[in-house]
Amino acid sequence: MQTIKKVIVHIILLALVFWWLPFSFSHHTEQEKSTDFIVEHTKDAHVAHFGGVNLYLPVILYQKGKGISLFSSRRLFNKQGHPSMYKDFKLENGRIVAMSGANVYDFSITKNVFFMFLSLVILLCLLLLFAWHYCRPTNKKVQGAAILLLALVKFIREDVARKNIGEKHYHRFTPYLLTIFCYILLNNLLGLLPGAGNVTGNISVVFVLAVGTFLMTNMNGSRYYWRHIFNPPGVPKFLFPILVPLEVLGLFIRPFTLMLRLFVNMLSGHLLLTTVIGLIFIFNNIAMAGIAIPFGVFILLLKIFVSFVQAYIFTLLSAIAMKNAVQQHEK
Amino acid sequence: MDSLIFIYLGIGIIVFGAAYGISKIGAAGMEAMGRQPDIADKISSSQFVPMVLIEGATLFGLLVCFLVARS
Repeated sequence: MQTIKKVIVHIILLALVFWWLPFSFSHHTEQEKSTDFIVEHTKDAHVAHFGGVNLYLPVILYQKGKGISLFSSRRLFNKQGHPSMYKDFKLENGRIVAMSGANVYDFSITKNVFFMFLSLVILLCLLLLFAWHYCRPTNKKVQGAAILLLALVKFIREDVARKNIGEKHYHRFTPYLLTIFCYILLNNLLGLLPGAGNVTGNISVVFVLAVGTFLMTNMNGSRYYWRHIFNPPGVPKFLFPILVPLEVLGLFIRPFTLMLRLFVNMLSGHLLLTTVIGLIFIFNNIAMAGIAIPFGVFILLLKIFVSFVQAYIFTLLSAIAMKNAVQQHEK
Repeated sequence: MDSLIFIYLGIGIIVFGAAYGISKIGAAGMEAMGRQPDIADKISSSQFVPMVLIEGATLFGLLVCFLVARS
């Protein structure tokens, strides 16, 4: 009985995976140029498509002198779903512009922002529940899904924070490392859902994460760390004009590569997936689906692995940067 | 169209270099793990850092290729 149940669950899961790749493309009309949607899927948008259902998100605009205007993004589309004009505003290449040519500041709740809020709610619920479950005095052992979270938290604390930063300082950095790890991991995985926002594949989001690491590193820098940059020990004086600017530049390059790595990895994965599925529409041939869908499923599974690896790498490199910042000179 | 050919060539060379570098790390790591099974955990986790550094350089190159191709 147990085995039959397991087999049925696996078949349903597999069917879901196969069904959901074409499902995420079902909102495209035939008139569209076939290669347009490949890039469109990785971009931010004012409407979220879940298969046949469109979720119209609020638009918040600010104009100098005219103040704030707030309306649903449904008004930017006509009955046929084509972009149309509302008041003074128009959608142009996914960006809202004013017909009069004035500057418009866009503070809308776009797809990415919506999914960021969603991920925050999920994270708060999950982690607070887990913490409450874990801290209950009557509870002797952790059960159920909490085991997964416990494993992740323990892995970051022991294998990333304690092993890299060292026994003395790791307490200070563990909360930050856990925060970025959980946030990146959840957003990577959420980005794989059909119609979901590609949050970690957006360079502004990843930029803020990298700035967080940059600030955490440099605000905790020890005297030894700063002396190593501005007055490197054991280096002849005439090399200083070359070495010091290089070291200062290195301060900024490290978070920059951190940002670029996560961003390009997530974006290229999405592009690859949409391109493979897009082959069906480009060749306009149902037989292509026999090749494209299994290959797409393979890429999807690979991307689940990459999601974990990239979250781990971001946390690991942040931890190594922090180790460099707090370490003392050993004589 | 001619310049596109060079971009494709560049992408190929970049990926070739990255694959070669990562394969070197993988091969050395496997050998080390075979010789010292006791510290296999340590070796496999320390392999990540050089791999990631290579990947970073690769992504820089690829990004330049994409930017040139789009302009």
